[in-house]
Amino acid sequence: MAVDMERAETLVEDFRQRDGRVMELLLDVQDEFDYVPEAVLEMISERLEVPLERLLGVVTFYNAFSSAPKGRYHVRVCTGTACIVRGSRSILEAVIGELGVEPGGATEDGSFSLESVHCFGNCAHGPTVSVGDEYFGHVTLAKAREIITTFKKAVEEGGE
Amino acid sequence: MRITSTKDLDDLKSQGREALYPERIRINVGSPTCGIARGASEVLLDLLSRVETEELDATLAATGCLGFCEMEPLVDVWVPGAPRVVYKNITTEDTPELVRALKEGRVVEDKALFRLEGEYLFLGDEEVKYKLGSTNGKYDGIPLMEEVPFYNGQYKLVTRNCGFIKPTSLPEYVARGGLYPLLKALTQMTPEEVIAEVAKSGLRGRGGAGFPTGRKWQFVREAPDDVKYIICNGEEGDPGAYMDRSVLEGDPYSVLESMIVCAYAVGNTKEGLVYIKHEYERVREIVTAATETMREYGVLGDDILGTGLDFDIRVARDPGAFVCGEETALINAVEGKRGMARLRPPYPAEKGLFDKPTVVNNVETWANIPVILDRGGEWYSALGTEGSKGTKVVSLAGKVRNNGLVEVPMGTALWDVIFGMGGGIATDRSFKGVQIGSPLGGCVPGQLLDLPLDYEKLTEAGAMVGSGGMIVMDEHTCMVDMAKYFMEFNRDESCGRCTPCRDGVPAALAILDRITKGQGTMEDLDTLEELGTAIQQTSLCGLGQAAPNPVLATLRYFRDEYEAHINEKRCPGAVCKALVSAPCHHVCPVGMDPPAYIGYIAQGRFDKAYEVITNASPFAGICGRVCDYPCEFKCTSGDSADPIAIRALKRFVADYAKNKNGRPRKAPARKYGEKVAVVGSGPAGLTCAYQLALQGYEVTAFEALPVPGGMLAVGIPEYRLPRDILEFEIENVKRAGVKIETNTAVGKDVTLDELRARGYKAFFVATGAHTGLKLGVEGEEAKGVVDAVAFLREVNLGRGDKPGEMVGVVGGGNAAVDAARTALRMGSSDVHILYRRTRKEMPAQDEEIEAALDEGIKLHLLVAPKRVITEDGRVTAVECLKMELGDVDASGRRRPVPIEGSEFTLELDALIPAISQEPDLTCLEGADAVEVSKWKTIVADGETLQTTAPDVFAGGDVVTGPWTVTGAMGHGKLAAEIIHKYLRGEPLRPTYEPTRPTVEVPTYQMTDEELATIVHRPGVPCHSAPDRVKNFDEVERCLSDEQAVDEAKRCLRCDATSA
Repeated sequence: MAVDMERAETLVEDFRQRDGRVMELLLDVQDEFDYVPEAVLEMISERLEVPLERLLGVVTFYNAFSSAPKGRYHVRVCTGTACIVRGSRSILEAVIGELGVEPGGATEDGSFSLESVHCFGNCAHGPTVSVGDEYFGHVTLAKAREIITTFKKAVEEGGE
Repeated sequence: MRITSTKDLDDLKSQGREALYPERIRINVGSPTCGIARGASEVLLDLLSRVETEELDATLAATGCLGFCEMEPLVDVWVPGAPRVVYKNITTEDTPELVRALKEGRVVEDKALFRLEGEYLFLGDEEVKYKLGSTNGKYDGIPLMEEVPFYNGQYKLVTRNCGFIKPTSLPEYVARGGLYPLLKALTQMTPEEVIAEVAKSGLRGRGGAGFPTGRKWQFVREAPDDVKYIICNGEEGDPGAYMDRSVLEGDPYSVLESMIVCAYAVGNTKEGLVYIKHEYERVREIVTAATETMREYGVLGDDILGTGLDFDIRVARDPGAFVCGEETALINAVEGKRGMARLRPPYPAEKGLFDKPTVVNNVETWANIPVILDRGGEWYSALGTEGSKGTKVVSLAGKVRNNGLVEVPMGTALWDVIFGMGGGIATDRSFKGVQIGSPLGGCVPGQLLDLPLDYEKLTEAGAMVGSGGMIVMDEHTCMVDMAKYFMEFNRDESCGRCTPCRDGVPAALAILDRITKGQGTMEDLDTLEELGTAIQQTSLCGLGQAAPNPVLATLRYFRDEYEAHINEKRCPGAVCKALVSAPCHHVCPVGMDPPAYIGYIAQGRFDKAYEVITNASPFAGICGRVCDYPCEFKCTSGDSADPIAIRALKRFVADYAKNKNGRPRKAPARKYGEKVAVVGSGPAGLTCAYQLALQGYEVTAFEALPVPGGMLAVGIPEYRLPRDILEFEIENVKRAGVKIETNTAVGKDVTLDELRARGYKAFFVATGAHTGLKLGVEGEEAKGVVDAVAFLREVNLGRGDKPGEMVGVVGGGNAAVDAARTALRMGSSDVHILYRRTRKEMPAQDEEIEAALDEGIKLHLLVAPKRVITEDGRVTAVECLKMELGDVDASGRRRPVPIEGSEFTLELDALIPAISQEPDLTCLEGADAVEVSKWKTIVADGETLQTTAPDVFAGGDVVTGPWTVTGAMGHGKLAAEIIHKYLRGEPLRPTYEPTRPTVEVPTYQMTDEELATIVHRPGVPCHSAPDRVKNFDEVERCLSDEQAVDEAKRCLRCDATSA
């Protein structure tokens, strides 16, 4: 997938105008592309005269940035303490089984990516699983399988 | 409008009051992030449209969080002239009825959580009393807020506005006393006075470290620099803590106001930052909107409140890293660098953001400031303990019944928070521990729940107040696995700068990983302790220094769990996959493999299921009826729904097989010449005898009573365990070749020495505990007082009589409930159970207690007998004392203490003590080599059951004191293994293996329809109470074929996912 460098250029220009801090630009890039393409980082490094290593250091340090595009459905399973205590480890296992990918990975066809996250702050209603913007509370093993099946069907039918 | 005077504020206040307490209905829908996740937005939208179509004169508002997350979505309804009512768990299915009720002036009582008749405002020390007209008692059935256990004992100071106002409405904030403290500080106090007041309050940082806030401000004030910064730390990284989120999204102005106060106090600062956790997008929007509103009103920006102070606040985006909760890492992130901790000193108060003096305070700390300024530091410092002042917001999560945020004065006992407000464990499982203060804190066991919420006290106990996150854990939690989880977390979140944390934490993790796989050694525990201490002492920042806490705390309080993994390949929480397979299988003392037989039931292959069960034990029907089912307490299904009805399924299979006269297929073969004597034919003795017979020994069981079975025959009443079932399964033992000699009391009719002389090479003593303990009160020698085991024995042997007309049973265990229900069946008309603790603590199985209540037995809780009142040597009444719960005892339960002067009398003509039993050791006559404890139990090695006489082994109640049928059977099985090794001259240590499926049974996949319809466990069918008390027929009936198959399909088959 080619990166739309024009969009990236616009972000850098906007950023220059408002004299912000580099972190904000990187977060803007993440928001715009849903990940931080290396080509964009190289471009920023040149334009702002910041060493590429420093930018990479920042991007790889924080959770907000991802280095690869996410799947069409980004599945997140909470493995925060409260959810773990309520059995989210086995839920994560089940989701891994259903999708056939490990956390941090994406399915070959790009329909699903999986991530385990440390806390949504939805502890009272855990275990929590999210798919895209949709949140599911009180997830059981059966419910987790059901959720994934539903979205798989959506992929097969080609709809949203 | 710009606010420049008290009058301006007063005007804004009346405007806010009109909005909060309007002359029409106001509906507040609690819409914090968690409420939205539960559907609050849909409820709000739905209410908006309904209010319009129904032409209800009402206004709606999205408010913050009242703390009771478990009950979300919460809808708070203000009706002029009436108490306000907060409704719980409102969905769009409830809204039509709610709007209709409001229209008709009704209350929806079954959805009401609590009512309020007024509010107390900390700012201004004001009681706002609602004008209440005549309400005709229609609110009487709804408790007041403070009458709801969750809120009882709470002190909502920091969370004072959360849920009561529209978060971004400045008038509503001012209506509850906001901004007055700021105006007071700017116009009536010098900066020094402000700092002095904060210092006097004793307020300490709520983010974790607990540094005195006043002193921090003082340092920054004293710094000579001409640029300084103020930062609000809202990087709430602690998983399980969400109080900062709740305050920021429910009451952002309280934090912003305080930052302005601080700017004034420390001087030379123009810029403040609110640093908000990456995942809290919605919170960022709310806080940003709040800063904009403040600018419009002249409360932020240039010339604040017309006092000439210039200061602005902006919201900083957090790129997401737990370590950024640490202030120097946070500062690095704001500067656009990697969030690595800096070496301190210099502290941020000297060199912070861009090397300038910087105040960094946590959200909750900030929210205290207005109250301190309003009420004075001295008033504030009266709250809490010696070193910990004020209140603390605690988030309760995990396995607790009432999830949510509670705010309590510092010094409140953990027990009150977890069991009082939190309501204890949500299921029937027992409490194991509570992790306090994030993955950097520690886990505290039940017996320490008396600990107060106090910085120093918790640190001494190996935990910490931290951010106030409390994750409650039940018995289905492995403490080694939790320690491993926290170490994984801390490894992932280590910034990597210093060696002890970066390399030490993974090293500890590797050891923990080994232990959870059953590959650890005892030396590993020492290494973990040394490593942990080294990381604590040499790491650079707070994260590293605290990172080993979870390991050290669990080693301190749950060392036995580590040892079980290492020595026995046993995971007491039944979690660690490498050892456990399915939890139900792992914890069964008899080694039953429920997923396998349940898998067969799901396929309708009941014969195969029977084979799986009887491979473990010949007592399918007995276990299926009287087991205390440890399996169900650990069932994975029970984590999120009903546990599988494992016992009922086993009984189903047993009954199916018995109807077809099915028998265990295992056949014995005489292989060895040695003879073994088993003394006592109860569950332990019969199990041992059967297993040894299968192994190829000649076994004889000696029984003192006229019937075999021990407590199964003479303790448990027939209505729970029919005699034909017992006899049928004892027949299995006989068919295996075991000889049972009844009416033969070892020690009296024949001694161990005589048996030795007859060629018996090993002995298993399992004579149980058949002597009832005395109450130790005056008058219990009277006629009409008979202990429960004696009473049950006589009835079971067909020799018993009706104990009396009005019967009192003392105790809370199964023996007490059995005695009470048996008395009823013997014709007693009025039966009472007296127990000194509460229902929750009764050791009897819950369904037995329920059944007793159904049958009309009266339960008196928190009551203990003081004296038996007699007339002519016969009991006529019992004088009792009422009890209350006191301190937490070693069992983690609160100890009952008598209430002085609470004596009352209960008239009776029979009294049955059922408090405990002890063994009768007649069998040891002439066997002096066997050591006996001061509790009159036989001393046997915990691992091998060998007594001090090498050829004598002992197990069951005679060793443990009163225990369970299944526990005794487990001992019987273990004894058989060890006696075999003893006779073969092998080392006596048991063979420990990880639990693995005994047979591979395919998993049944439920159809979509089944997933939707088979959701709950079936109720066990019972005969009706009025019918069943007339006789001793079995009360519980068997599941139908269909019920059993459906229930079996519900099994999650966790054995299949174990690798």
